[in-house]
Amino acid sequence: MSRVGRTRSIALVGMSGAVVEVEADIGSQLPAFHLIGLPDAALGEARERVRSACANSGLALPARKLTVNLSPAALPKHGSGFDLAIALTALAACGEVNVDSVAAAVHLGELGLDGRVRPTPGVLPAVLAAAAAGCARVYVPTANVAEASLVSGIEVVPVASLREAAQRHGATLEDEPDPGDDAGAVEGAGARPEVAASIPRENGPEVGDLADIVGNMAAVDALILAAAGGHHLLLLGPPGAGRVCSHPGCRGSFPTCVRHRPLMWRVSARSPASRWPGASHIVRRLKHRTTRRAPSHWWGAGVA
Amino acid sequence: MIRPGAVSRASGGVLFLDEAPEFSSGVLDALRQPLESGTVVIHRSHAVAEFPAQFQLVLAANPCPCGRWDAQRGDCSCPSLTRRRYLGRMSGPLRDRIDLDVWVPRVSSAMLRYGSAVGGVSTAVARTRVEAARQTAAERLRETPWRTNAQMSGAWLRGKGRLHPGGRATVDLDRALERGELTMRGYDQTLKVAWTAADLDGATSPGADHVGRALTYRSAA
Repeated sequence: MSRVGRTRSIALVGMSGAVVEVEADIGSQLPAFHLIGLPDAALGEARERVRSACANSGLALPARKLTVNLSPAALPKHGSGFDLAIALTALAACGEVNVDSVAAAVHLGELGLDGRVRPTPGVLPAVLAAAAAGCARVYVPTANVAEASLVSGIEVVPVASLREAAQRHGATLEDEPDPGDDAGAVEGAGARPEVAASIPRENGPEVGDLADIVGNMAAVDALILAAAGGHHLLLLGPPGAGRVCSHPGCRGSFPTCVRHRPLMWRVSARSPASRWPGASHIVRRLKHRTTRRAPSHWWGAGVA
Repeated sequence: MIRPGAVSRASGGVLFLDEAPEFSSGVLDALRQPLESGTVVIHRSHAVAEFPAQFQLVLAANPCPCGRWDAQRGDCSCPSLTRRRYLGRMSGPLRDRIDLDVWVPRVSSAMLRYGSAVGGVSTAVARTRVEAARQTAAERLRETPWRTNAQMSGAWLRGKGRLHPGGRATVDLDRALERGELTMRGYDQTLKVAWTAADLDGATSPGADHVGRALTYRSAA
């Protein structure tokens, strides 16, 4: 029984995604699990997650040599979002699930040791890339489904556990309490804020008020002009005079800055950063002492 | 792995830098490119990634390291060179990209009394005005890719958009440009701020007072 299981996943470079072919082969050598195709440390650890998740979902991988290749092999891949694809392709290689069904879909998601599918950062740009590449169906973690379903032209299938995903691909499993359905899974999803909760609140709690600023009407006027037109603003003055903007009251005037933006565009940058701020957090306040170098802070960390 | 940084995460919102001259000048000048293009391109040995960076920049700064400099009652202890160097970290090209450059003076007892008597603008009132002005601007720009006045391109504003309020309203602005006090970018930005001022006042087009008000915010110190 030597056949190759195949499926697809998405590797992100910045906000653009590339389709990655994930293929698994079961060899007859000594038991081992090899993951090749330039994985980073987090992705390399997928071996342990996948093995445990499969075993705990009632789909134990055979004690033989399993080789998983991520192609194109020269493209560096990172993160834990390939876990689901690796697990399903391995299960396809050993005949536990339908090979064609697995090969036809794109899979995104991190696996827990018990087989639950955890949310992963960057789902929106990944699904966009899958749709652009002409893929018909994408499996995403349930916690990421709101983000993924913003993309049109592709069928989004939410999965809570590896068990559920395997069953959808034709695995025959007796009905057991699904580890993805219990309270733990909900808790796990809640650890990272869900998309529904992240859509900016219209009226957040207001602390302080612009009216508390006495004198310095020019500063308040400039602040209102900046909020209304989206203009860049510099407030220059002695300490204690009118750090109007540090005044929380100014936040109340600013939320409109984000409200009229297309949601897709707004979340797309934050998706790879796995930050889902509410409106108030979009006012990003930086302290100079936290900024050591320009590149790492402004542009983002570039760890190869 | 290339992750979006602060400018991308502030995209569509506000990037607020408190004590701006405490950042190194290299850090601040690195903001010039995304301010202009609205995107950030990160080059690494293994990949090139592009992220959106359309943020509104808000800076707060002291006039000098001791913070006590004031044009009128200067009890500042900093040598002038120190002061120049301190503000010089925000370079000319960066300052030129700031539409509203506002000097916030120390509050005097007269200002305090006047301010308390007149009463300030509450956040709720400010928000209503801001929302109304944004609505007006968005309505005017509905056929364009832009939604706020700051996003308009200068060439479009003066050319195709026909949003130049006419020679009579911009006498002072034209004079400032002629005298070399304004760059061409500064000219366009002043016009945009004037449009925002007009939107806030409910005027159909900016008058000389709106342009004048925008012009006063061009040069703080």
